Amino acid sequence: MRKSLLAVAALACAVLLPSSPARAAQKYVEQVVERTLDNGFKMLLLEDHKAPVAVVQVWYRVGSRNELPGTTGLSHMLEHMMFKGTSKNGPEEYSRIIAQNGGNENAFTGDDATTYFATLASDRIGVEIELEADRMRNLVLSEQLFEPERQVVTEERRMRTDNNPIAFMFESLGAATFLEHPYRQPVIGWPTDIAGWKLSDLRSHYDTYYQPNNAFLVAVGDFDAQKLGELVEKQFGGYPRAADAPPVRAKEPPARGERRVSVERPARLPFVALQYVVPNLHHADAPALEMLESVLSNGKSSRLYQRLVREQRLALDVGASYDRTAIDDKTFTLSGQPQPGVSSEQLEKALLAEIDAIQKAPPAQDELDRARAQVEAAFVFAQDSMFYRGMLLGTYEIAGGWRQIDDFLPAIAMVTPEQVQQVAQKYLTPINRTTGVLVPLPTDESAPLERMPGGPMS
Amino acid sequence: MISAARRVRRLLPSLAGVALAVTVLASPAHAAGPLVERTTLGNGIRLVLSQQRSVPIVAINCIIDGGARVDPPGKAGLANLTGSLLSEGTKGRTSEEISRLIDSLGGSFDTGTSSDWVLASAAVLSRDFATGVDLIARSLREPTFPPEEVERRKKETLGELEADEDEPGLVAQRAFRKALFGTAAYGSPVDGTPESVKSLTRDDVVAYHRDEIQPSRTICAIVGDVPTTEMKSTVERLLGDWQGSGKPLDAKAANVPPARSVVVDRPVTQASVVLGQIGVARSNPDYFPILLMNWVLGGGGFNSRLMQSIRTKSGLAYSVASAFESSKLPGAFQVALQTKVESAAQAIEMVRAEIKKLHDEGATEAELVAAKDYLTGNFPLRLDSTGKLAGFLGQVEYFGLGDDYIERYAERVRAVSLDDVKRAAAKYLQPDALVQVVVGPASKLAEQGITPTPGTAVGVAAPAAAPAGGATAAGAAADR
Repeated sequence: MRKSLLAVAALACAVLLPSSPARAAQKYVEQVVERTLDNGFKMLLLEDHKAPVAVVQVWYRVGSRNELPGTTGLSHMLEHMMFKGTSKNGPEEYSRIIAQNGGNENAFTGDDATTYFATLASDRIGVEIELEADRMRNLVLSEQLFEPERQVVTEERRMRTDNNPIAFMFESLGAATFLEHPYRQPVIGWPTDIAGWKLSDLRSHYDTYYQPNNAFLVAVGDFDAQKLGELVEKQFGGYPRAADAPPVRAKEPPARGERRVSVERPARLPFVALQYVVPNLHHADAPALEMLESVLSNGKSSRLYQRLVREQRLALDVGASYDRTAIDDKTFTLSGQPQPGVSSEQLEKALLAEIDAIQKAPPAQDELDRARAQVEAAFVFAQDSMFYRGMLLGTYEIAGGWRQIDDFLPAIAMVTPEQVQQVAQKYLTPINRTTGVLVPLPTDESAPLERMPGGPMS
Repeated sequence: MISAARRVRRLLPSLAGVALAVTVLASPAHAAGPLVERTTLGNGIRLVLSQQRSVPIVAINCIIDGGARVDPPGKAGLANLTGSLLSEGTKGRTSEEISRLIDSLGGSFDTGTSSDWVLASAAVLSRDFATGVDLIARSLREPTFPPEEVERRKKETLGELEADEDEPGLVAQRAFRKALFGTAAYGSPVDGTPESVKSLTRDDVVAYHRDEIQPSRTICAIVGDVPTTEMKSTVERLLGDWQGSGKPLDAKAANVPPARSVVVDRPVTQASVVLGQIGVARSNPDYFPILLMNWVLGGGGFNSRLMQSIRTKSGLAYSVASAFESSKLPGAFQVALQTKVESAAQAIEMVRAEIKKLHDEGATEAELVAAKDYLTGNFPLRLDSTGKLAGFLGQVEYFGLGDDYIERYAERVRAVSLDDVKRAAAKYLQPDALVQVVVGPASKLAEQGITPTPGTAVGVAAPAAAPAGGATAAGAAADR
């Protein structure tokens, strides 16, 4: 299936836009060295010699998608604890050693994966490889370090969610959009779950998911892939293969009617979002959904900006977003913040009118071409960043396989205006919609504090 | 201190919600640095050019000295409004035509304003280089400032100022800058205040453009896959005969304000705290001792004293950092953190204690070595992409750091002694003269003894420059 699609697409490119630098770009499959060790640990190595620098990322196939009600946020908490030392290196030693070598390091957790990374001068990457191998299996989890870090995460939640009314609304919206699938859970965890985690929960999460066969390494930069592969094998190859991590069995049932959630928080301005569950990159409609997103919100010439921000002056900001590279089917979202004096109802109505418009008539060819040019050029610009190239490889590998990166541009090239219209008709339906609204409460008095669903968390 | 382009077009987060911003400056441990050509056109435009062949793209960054620093009294936000309007219509092209043109190329073109400069920048595929320069040249030379665009941008700015009030960290920054700089340069917020923005007229915009957007104040850094001869000839063709009014730059630095405390009353569960004082200009000869001293205090991420004591050991905050701004005139030195309302006083005491300790005793040998290792080793990472290099080279030129800055960076870091750091800490940290701002519920803060200095209005926060980074919505990747 993929092969034949590729062949047709390549032909189409050659005819349509022979000079496009995006389409002339070398394919990832020709550049990436893939190796899998006997214990199941995979590596994706991409040589890039434009600067004497390299990025190393270790991806674990675990995120909030793998979590259960009552202990949400464990993956993110474990990510924090991964900096608290191993049987070999003491607490915070990891950060000290990377800094000593001039590197930048951090980690992030999402729905589908947890990623650790460091960027260093390329002659120092062995340091990062050794440290990552060490903390994959030798983490020390102690009560003494656990409690202060639980407080740090509580502060992180206050900063990102509890004191950010728009983020708070999106959290509630997500929980309404999905009935069963764990995409309904916040990555950072529900407040009471954060307060209730036990060290044994973390230990079990670590032993279940932090195993060579549930992780892979991505490296991009100024190195010799053959030699780097040998080093990775030396550092990670000694761990035994573990039992496969339990699969996520929850499946989201089809939507059977419109849902609506409104959230009251102290805020100056309202906010509105329309969310639809749509297929991910494994579905034939994915390229058209990608172009629908681009037509609606890519660049200042895009529809939502031109019409709602510039012409009708209803919104301060609007956007559309499609989660194409999620493991399971996720969301297509339209959202916006009304200008002062405009109600969320007015903006909601205007967003719905834009959906209606694209369902009634396909985008003009030049409009689609502009949207496509941006998606394609973004692919070229992305090559400027080794970190981003690593992200691309890791994200696709998590979603189903890094080789699919090369399918993206050819598939985008074949999308027609009618297909964009068709996916809008098919997915952006009332029955499939969950609407979220932020209803502002006054910000100049303390009383509303008591009404915060999250409540004080100390 | 950039205020433009803060609002991202897409409101929803992507997985790449990445990481700990490292704001320290850094030089290659071993690289000799990129090949750079410098030249000045007849009208005074300075060009910094570097051909990089790795990716078929090119970045063009033109900065014009002045920015919000030279906003006239009572007209805060004028440079910002003018800067944003440069791309909303030029002779023969409407705003929408400009948007369509750049979007059809898949490139980006933005104009905006920071506290020190107006910026016109484009990033395009190499084949579109001349179009990128043309967009910038027209925006600088012949913007039309259509009245309806002026009104629209004003209204949007007022709305953005309103929306910013929902970000406690931003509210704290604004109150801090107002308390620190008052009516002097950098005290007026880049975006303006609701009152000042309402008062701006199209005539003000036309005057700012005429007086402050001039070739003699312009630096263009161009990096990418285009021969430098072509870079130079293209800019010469499109900007070489641009003539300015010749008005000299004018802006006054602030006097050092007395220690004071400001409280902004907000019904939140987490207090946003900013503590600081007036720092130094980028041209300060003690730049390197200050850089290393600040790395030890709160610039060194997880290795800094503030992060160790306030986050790692006590669990009081998710993030805490200190920074000296790089600015033309002396900018701010500040420590910023967020902590639950109940522990605000404790966290503030810890910050004050760390500042005082470093001021009194200086750093340790081990800390100095760690700072040097990081800053020298990290330098190549700061130049590893087309975009980063263009930004870096522009600033080297703007702050007059010298043609050999990249080559000599590591040597200058290594030359700093423990005594130098001690002297810098004693001279540039003023533990008894800190300006303190806390955003949170005033009554609960008062219970801990956090009250405003008499004469300081409670709940009044003037908007100011925005820090880098945006809001993260739910479902986003959470950084460490």
